[in-house]
Amino acid sequence: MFRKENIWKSVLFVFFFGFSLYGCMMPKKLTDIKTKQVGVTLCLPDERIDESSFRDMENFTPVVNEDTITVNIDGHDMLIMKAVRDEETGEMVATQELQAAVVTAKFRNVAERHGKIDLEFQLRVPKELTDAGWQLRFYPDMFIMEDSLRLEEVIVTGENYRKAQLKGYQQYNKFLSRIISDTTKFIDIRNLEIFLQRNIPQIYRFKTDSSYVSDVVFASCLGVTEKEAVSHYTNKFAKAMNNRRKAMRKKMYAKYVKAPIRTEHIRLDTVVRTLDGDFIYNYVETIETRKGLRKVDIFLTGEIYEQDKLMYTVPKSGPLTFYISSISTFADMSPRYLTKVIERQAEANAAWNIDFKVGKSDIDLSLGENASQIDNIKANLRHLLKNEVFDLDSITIAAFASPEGSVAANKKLSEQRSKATAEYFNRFVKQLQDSVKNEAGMSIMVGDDFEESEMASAYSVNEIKFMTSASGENWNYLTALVEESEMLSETEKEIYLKSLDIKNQDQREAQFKSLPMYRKMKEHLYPKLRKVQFNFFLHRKGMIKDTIHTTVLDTTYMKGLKMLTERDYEGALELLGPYQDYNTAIAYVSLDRNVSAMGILEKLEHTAPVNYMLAILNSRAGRDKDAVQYYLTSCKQDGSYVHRGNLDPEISALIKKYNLNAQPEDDFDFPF
Amino acid sequence: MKKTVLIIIAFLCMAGVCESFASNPVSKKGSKKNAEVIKADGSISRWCITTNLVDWAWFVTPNADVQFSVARHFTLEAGFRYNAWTYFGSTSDQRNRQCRQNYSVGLRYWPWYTYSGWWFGAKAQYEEYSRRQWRNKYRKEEGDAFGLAVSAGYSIQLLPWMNLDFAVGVWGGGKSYKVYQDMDNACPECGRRVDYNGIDDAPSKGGFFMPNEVTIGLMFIF
Repeated sequence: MFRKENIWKSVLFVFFFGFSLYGCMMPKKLTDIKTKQVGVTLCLPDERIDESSFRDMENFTPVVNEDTITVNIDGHDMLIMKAVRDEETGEMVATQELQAAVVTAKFRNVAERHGKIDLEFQLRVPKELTDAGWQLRFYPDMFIMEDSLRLEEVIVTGENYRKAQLKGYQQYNKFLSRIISDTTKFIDIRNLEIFLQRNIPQIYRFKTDSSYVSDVVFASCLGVTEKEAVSHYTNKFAKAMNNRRKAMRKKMYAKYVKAPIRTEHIRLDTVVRTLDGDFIYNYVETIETRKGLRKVDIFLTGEIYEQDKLMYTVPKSGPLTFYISSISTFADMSPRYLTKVIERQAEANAAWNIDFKVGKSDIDLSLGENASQIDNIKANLRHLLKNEVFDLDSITIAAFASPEGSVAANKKLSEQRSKATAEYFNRFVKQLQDSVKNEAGMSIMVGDDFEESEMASAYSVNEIKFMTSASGENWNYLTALVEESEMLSETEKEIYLKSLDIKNQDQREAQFKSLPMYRKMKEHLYPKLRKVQFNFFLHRKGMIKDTIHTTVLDTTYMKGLKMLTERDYEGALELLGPYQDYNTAIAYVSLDRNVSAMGILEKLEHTAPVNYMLAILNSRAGRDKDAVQYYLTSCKQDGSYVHRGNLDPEISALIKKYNLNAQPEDDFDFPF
Repeated sequence: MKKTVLIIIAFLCMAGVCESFASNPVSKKGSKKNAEVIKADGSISRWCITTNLVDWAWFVTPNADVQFSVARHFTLEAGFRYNAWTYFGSTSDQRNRQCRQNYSVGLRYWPWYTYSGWWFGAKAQYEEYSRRQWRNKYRKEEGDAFGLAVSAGYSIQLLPWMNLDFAVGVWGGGKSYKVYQDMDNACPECGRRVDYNGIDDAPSKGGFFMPNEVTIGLMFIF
């Protein structure tokens, strides 16, 4: 029979033996992985992994290569192999380089639709890389044109690893639970209450009154305030300890939660218990297309962690290349022109307010804003006279009058006003033309090979006709002014509008005078009615015919086309929409607006690209027969579509389904 | 008896001092600068009477201690313990007296606030006593002791008007006494005096230092 002592000894022995065995096993696995350089496979979703290759992996036998030699020492054959020192045990461990893995062509053509591209790939983690105590972190990196972008991580967490993580959180939460957030808990309330009741009874009376807020400080008759009392009955030691704990939160978090459970920038964090085979994750990343995007590469790196300790860096795998094809490459880039009609005649008009005294027609610069208005008019005339494209032919001046006085008198007055204005500006134009002539004359003196007639035509020195028009009382403008006026009330406006029913303008005016709002209108609105309107009639210099037809590049269309090639489909459609041509159809196809696209394409001449587009549209609509027909026609018209068909999923599906490219098109027999 | 009268007079004097404190409250400088400080109504002085349950348990010794607050940290204190009872025997010959009269006047320092928490006290104390000697339980010592007592304690607030007071104290000073053999008839006037000097009947003189009190007291504050 065993003595009790012996039983304990054997239990301890078994325990330590088991523990040391466990300790030895862990690094062994890691060493294996390290020496075999086990990595992760990146592959395409429907890529069939040859099962036999995995069978080989399991029955892995070292292959004797040039790293291993046999030598004869003292009559014994000895095998000399490459070895490394195990970091954990310090033993020398023979290593065997794996034969290079067979790399198959890792690329795929993906089609861009709606400005987006779905990149689908598979992450295949071999069984030997997983362990209950480990966490595998995989970092897919995307190289897109010149940029590299780290995609969201995939994390495979071992059961024990997660347990340890959770235990860490538990410990931390236990620590947190010891922190008291309510500082009143440190106050000895019972004693404080008795103290207050005994020594500061006023404050005790406010005990139940929460609304009490005051600057008044109550004190005991010996001068001790409530605050001092609270401070005295507060357990300062406990409070200090609590504060110490609060300050230690960060440190304790780091101590307990060595490997926090992450929630951001993670595609997947899965806990694995036991794996019978490899761990496979289908990764789909949708990216926005960008200008000139042709190709995207995906690489994968990874790390193995045992809590916060990096155990192994998984060798980089990849690249997986995605070639991006876009419908917009079908855009017809030939320039489009617009026919433009150029007219000889041109007209410009402007209205300025030249103020006149009541009943007067002479231009008074000192009146109102006349000086600045007239300066404006002069500046305009100067500009028109010097214009290099147009010549000024004539100016019509229409003067208006306010309704005061009779219609006939006002008509006459406005006539006088327009004439006075015409005379005034005629004088100005003459002076201006003289000065222009003088300027030209100055250059005559300087220039050697001067031709007077040419020079003269370069400046508007032709006779400018001034025509006047007496427009009389300006009722329309008055109505507009009344409607816009903020000075008049709504009822006043209504009264005005009603008065317009009186056809006789003199009677209407007479009625106004009796209204209380008349004064306001007379003071503020009437002066605005006494204005002068200018119409300038011009003609294109050197043009004799009335109209000319010319072609210019249609910039709107070309802008839309540019947007289409840059894959801004919405913008392109906005500009190309009205043209309803082939490129409009391309924009529709890109936006999956298939019916609109079909409507346009069917009307067009059935060229190769049109047929190809129709094939795509029919394929989308599920009309396989028509789709195949159109595709084959387009291939017949242009051989390059045979290969293009593989790039667009709508067509490549058909090619696969009906094995289209395997046989000559002529012999193709529809399998419908 | 003379001494007793003197002590009562001293008591009354102390009460007078306390009263004068009460009518002239010690003004305290405002502790807050900006806020208006309103002090509680009433006198700064509060009376308190304490009675020690341990003394009552010790041969039912009636005792009381009157305190009077004079400042935030100080109370004046005057107390007595008086036991005139006779036990174990009805005749004067067989009296087994625990008799004593004890009067004290002093002050207490309260680190936080009067009648709350820790305190330290010092007092002058007179005692007329009769007790067995420590070293020889058959001898009885009777006499007068006068000295200084110090004590310390902690006062628990039970109710706004009541505290539970715990304290211990020692005292030391000089004494004038007579020691008697106390086999079966131990009384001041009878029995054999042991410390007789052989010349006259004058009492012995000496110094002492001894425990003074163990208090579990009820304090009534009003």
